[in-house]
Amino acid sequence: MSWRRLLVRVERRLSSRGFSLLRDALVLLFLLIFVVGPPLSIFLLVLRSWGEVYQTVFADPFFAQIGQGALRWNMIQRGLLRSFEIAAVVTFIDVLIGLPMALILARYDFRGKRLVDTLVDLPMAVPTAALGFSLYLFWGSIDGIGGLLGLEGGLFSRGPLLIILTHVAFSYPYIVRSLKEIIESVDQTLEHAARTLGAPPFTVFRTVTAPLIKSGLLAGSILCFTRSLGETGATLIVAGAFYTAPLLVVEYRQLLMIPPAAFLSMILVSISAFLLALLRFSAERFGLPIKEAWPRAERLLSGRAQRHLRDLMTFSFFVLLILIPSSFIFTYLIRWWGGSPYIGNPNLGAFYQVFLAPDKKWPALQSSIITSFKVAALATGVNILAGLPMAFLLVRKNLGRLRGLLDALVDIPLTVPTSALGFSFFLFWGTKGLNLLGPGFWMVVLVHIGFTYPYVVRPLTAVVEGLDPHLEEAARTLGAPPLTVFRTVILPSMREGILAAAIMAFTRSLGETGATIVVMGLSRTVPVLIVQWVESLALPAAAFACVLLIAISLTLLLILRYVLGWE
Amino acid sequence: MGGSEEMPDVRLVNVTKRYGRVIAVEGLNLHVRDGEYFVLLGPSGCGKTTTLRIIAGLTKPDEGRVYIDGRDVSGIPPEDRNIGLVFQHFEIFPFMTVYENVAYSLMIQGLDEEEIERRVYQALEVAGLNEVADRYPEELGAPELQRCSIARALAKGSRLLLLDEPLGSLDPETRERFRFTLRSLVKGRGLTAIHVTHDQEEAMAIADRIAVFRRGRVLQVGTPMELYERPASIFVANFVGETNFLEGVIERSGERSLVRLRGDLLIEAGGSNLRAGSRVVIGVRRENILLEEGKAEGLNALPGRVIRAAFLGKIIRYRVELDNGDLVEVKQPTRLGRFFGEGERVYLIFPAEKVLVYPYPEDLRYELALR
Amino acid sequence: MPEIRLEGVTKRFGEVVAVRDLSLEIRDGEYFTLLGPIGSGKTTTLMLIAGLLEPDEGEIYFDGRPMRGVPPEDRRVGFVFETFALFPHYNVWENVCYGPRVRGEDPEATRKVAEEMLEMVLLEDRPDALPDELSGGMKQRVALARALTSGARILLLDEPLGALDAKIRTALAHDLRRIVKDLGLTAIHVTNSVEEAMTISDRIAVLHRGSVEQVGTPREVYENPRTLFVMDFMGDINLFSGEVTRADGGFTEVTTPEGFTFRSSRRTMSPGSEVHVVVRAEDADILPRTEETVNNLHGIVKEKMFLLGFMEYLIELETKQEFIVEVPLMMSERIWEVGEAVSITFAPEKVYLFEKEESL
Repeated sequence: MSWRRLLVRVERRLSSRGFSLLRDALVLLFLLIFVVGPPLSIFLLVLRSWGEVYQTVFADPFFAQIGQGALRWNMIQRGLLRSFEIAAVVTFIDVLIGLPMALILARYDFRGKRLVDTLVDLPMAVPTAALGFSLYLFWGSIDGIGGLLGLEGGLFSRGPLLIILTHVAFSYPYIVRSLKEIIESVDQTLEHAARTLGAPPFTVFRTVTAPLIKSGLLAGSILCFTRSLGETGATLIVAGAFYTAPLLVVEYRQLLMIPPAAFLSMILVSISAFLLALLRFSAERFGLPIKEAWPRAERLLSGRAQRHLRDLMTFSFFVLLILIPSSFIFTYLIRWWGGSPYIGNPNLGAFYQVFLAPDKKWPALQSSIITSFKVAALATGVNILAGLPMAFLLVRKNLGRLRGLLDALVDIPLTVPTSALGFSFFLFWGTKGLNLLGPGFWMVVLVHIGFTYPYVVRPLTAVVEGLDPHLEEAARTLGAPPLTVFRTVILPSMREGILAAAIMAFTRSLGETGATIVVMGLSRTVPVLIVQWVESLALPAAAFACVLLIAISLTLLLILRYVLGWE
Repeated sequence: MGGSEEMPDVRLVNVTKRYGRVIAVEGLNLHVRDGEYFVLLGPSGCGKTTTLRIIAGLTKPDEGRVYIDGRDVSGIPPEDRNIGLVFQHFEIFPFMTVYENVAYSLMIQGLDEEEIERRVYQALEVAGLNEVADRYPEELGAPELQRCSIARALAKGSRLLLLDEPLGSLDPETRERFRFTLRSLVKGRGLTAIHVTHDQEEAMAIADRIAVFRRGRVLQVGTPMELYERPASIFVANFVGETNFLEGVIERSGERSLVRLRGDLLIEAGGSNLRAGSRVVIGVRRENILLEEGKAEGLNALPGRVIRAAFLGKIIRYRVELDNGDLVEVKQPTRLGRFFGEGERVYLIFPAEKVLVYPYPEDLRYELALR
Repeated sequence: MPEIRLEGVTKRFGEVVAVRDLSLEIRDGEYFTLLGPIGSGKTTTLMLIAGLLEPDEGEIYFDGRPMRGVPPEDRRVGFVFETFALFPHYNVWENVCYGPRVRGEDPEATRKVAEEMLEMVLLEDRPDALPDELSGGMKQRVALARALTSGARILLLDEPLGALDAKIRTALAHDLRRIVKDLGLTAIHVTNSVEEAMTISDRIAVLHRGSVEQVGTPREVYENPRTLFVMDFMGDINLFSGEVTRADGGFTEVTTPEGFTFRSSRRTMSPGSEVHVVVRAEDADILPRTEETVNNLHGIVKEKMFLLGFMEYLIELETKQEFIVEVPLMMSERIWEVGEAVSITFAPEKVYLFEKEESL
C-alpha cells in the first residue's frame, strides 16, 4: 500500500470529532497557562498579599515618619497620569500626521511610492531600545540637531517631550499601515460615485470615506494609545529622571519591591483590559458630521494647490519627525566609529570600545545576539504551533458571544505594558506563584512566548478569514478527509501568511526590552545590553549594538515584504 | 433497491433545511434518474444551491434523507460520497498546476504514478486542455479554468456530477458555447448530472428534465417541452420562457373554452374545468403569437397597435397595445420576413391550444414576481 | 440635451493600451451602447467621459466644450455602476438626495425631484431602508434614481444589469430605456451582452481591443457587419476559409480545402484571394439529404437543443467539422433527431465574405 494512501487513512482517523475536541482543548489550555494566566494571576496575588501591598503603597511606616505614608501611592498616581497624558498627545499627533500619509499611500500613484512605503515602515524595523537611543541622540545630544543649531547640548533634554517624540515615531508606522489598509478596503467605486454626483474630493472624504473607516480609525487610535501607555524600552532611555507608570514597575522590580510592583502592574492590566473592551463595543457608536454640506468651503479645500500644500506638509513632517531621527543612529555611529569626532581620542570610538578595549564589549554582544536569536526562535516556533489551531478555532468554530471574549484574551499581551507583563510572568512562574522557575533564560523564553502570541495569532486569524471555504469543499468532494484538506490545500494557501506571522513575531521578540529586563536574571538579550551600555555611558558601543540589531531586523522585514509581494 | 452500478440515481425524501428562521428548503422530494441531465432552476435564494449542497454532503439537512444509488448517505461525509462537484468560481487550487489539480483526487486515492498520469491525460484530452497542463491557474482565462474544474471532477471517476452555476462566471458568448460542451461531456461518459442555475434559457437548452424551485419548494418537474407547453402555475409560466398574461372571465367552459378579456375581447382557449363566470388569468407565450394585417380563420385574433419594434438579430421584439389597453409583447423570427413599424395596426394571431388558463390567484403580483 | 464627442482618445495603463485612438459621436437624446467583450475598453471609455480618468491623448467634448481638466464633479454626468455603489451608511433617501445636497441646492426642490425619481423607478415605498436590506434589482433602481436626481442630462451606465438574475435583467432593461426616453436624457450604456444592447439601443458601437470596429443601429450592425469580429460577436456563426474561384455578375464563388463550395451575392472579390466565409446559424436551413453541392453541406445531427421558439442543431459534417443551425419552431415542419443524415442550405445573400488578414 502506498505511503500516500496510508497517510490519508491516518488523516481520516484523526479528522474525527474526538480528536478535534482534544485539539481545541489543548489550544485553550495553552492560552490559559502560557498567555493569559500570568497577567490575570496578578490580581490573585495582590489580593492574597493585600496587607503587604497596602502597607508599602499607602501606609509605609518609613515614609510615614515624614508624613508621606502614601508616598508610593502618590508616585503611582503621578506615573499613571503622566502615561495617560503622554499617550493622549501621542495619539493625537500620530493620527493628525499619519492619516494624510495613509491617504496618499492608499489612493495616489506616483514614482517612488514603493520607496516611501518602505521608509514609512522604518521605525517598525528598529527595536524600541535602539529607536529610543537614536531619537535621544538626535534630539537630546550635542551630536544631533542641537549641535547643528550651535547649542551646547541637545535641543531637548531627557524627559516628557522626548518621550512624546519617541512614542510618536514608533507608533507612526502602525497608524499609517492600519489606516492605509482600512482606506484601501473602502470600495473606490463609492468615491467615484460621489464625485460624479458633484462632490469635490474633500467632501467625498468627509461624507463617504470617513464614515466607512471610522471603526478602523477608532481601533487604530486605541491601539496607538495603549502602545504608548505600555511602552517601556525606548522610554527607559529617553526619560532621564522623569518617570512614567511602566518605568516605575521596572524600578520597583529592580529594587525587589514586589508588592508595589505587583499593585501597579495590576492597575495597568486592568486599564488595558478596559480599553480593549472599549475598543470592541464602542466602534459603532461614535459618529461623524456626515449630514451637513458646505459646498463652497469644501470645494476650496479640494483645490489643486491646497492638496499639494497638504501633501508637502505631510511629507515634511514624516521626514523631519520620523525618518531622520529614527535613522540618526547610523550617522552617529559613522561619526564615532574611529574615535571622538571632537577631540579625536580613539579610546572613545565605537570600534575601540567594542573590539579593542580591555573590557571589550564584543564577546558580550556576541553571546547576547545568540541569546536573542534563541529566544526569538523558540518563542516564534512554539507560537506558530499553538497559534495556528487557535486561529482556526476563532474563525471556523461557531462561537457566538464567546468569540469576543476569546479575541480579547488573545489580545491581552498586546495591550498590557511590557514591564507589567514581564513582572506578572515573574510572579506567576516564580517563587510567588507556581515556583517552577527563577529569572533567567527560560523565564525570558516564556515571557516572549506570552507576548509574541498575539503577534502570531492576529495575522494568522486574518489569513484564515481570507481563506476560500469553497476551495476546501472542492478538495473534500474530490475525496480528501478534513485533515488531508488541511495538509494539501489549506497549508499551502497559508504559506506566505505563516511566514509573515513568523517574521513579525521573530522581529518583535528580537527588539523587546521592557519585559525582558524584568525577568532576565543573568541572561542578556541585545536590547537589554543596549540599555545597560547607555546607562553606563558607553554610547558608541551602544550605537554599534543598535545598528547591528537594526540591520538584522531590517533584513528580516525586507524578506517579509518580498514574501508578501508588492501590491 | 438501487440503480445500476454504472449510472447512479439520486433520491431526496422529505428534505428540510432551515437557517435560523429562514427556510431554505422544505419537504423536498426529488428523484433524479440514472444517466439524466437534471437541472435545478429558480431565482436567487430559492433553495436550489442548498439542495445541491445537501446532495453533496456539504450541508446537513435538518430533516429527511438522501439516497445515492439506493444507498442512504445521510451520515456520510462528502469525501466518501463518490461525487464530482463543479463550482461557479472554479475553485482551482492556485498553488498547483493544471496537471496537479486534475490529479488531486487520484493522488488522494494513493494510485501509482503511471495510473495517475494515464487518467489525468485522458481527462485533459476530453476537456481540451493538453496544451496547458503545466500552467498555473493565474495564467489561464475563465473558460479554461472552468474546463480544468470539469476535468478535475471527471478524472476522479465518479458517475454522479454536481454542478453549481458552472457557467455563471463566463461571459454570455462563452456561456452559450459551453452548453453544448458540457452536455456532450456528460452524455458521452454516461454520467448522471445535477446542474443548478438561475438562467432558464440555459436550463431549457441543456436539461433532460428540470425542477423549478421557488422559496424552498419545487413547483414543477418536467422536460423542457413540458414546462414550456404546460407550465403548472403562473410563476412557472412567467419564469420559464416569456409569457403574456391577460385578465379575463370564463364565458363558457368545456373542451374548447371561451374567455372574455377586458374590453369585451373574446378568445378561445383549450379545455378547462373552471366554471363559467370564474375569474382567470390567461397566458400566451411570446413566441406563439403571429402578427398579421388581418384576421385568420379558426384562430384567435386580437386587434392592437405596435408601439415599439426592436430588432434583435434573429428575432424582432414587438410591443403591442391592444384595443382594450392591455400591453402584449411578441417575439417574431426575423426569417419570416415581415416587418411592422411603430404605429401600425395589427392583429395578434394565436391558436386556442397555445392559450394557458389559470384561476385568478389571491396575489397576482406575487405570482408574477421573479423571486 | 448635450452631444458628446470623442476624438482620437488614447488611454494607457502602464504597458497596456486600454483605449486606442478612439473617436465617437453620440447625439442628443440618443440611447447609445458600447458593446464588446471583456477588456475591449468600454468601461475605460465611460470613465474617461465621466472624468474619473484623464486621456493620455485626444480630446472629449460636451456640446463642443473641451473637457480636459474638468473634474468629475463639474461634468454633470449621472453614473450607474455595475456594483451599484450605494453608500452603505446612508439609507435610500439619503443616497438619492446626495447629489443635490453636496451641491447645496434648495432642499425643497430636491425633495420634489427625489420623490419623482423614486416613483419613476418604482421604489417610492422604502425611503428608510438601508442598502443591505435591498435585493439586487432594488439596489440598481436606487442607483438609477440617485443619478437621475442629481440633475444630470447625460446618463452613463456601466454594465448596470450585469449583477442581476437573467430574468430580472430583461425587465429592468425595458424600464431603463423607458425612463431615459421619457426624461429626454442622453444615455451611454456599457455591456457585453448582445441581446441587451440590441433591445435597448438606438445605436451601438462595437469595441474590440480599445478601438471601434463598427457603429450603427442594431439592424445595421447585425445585417451588415463590417468585420469578422463584429459578425462573430453579434451571433452564432459558422466559419470557413477558402479561395475565391469565380467572381461575376455580382456573385462570388469560394472553394475551401475540404471541398465545400460557397456562393455569395454580397460582394465581389478578386479570384485567387484568400477569404473567410461566414454563415449565421439562424440563416441556415436543414433539409433531408440531397446531392447539391453549392451552398449545401452534408452531415449528421449530433446534438439538438430546445431554445424557446427555436431548435438548435449541432451537425457534424463529413469532415468532422461542426455546423450550428437555428430554426424557428414556428417555421419547422419537423424536429430532426440525433443521428439523422441531413443537408444544410443557405441563400447567397446570407453568405458573408471577409478578407483573410483578419483574425478573431
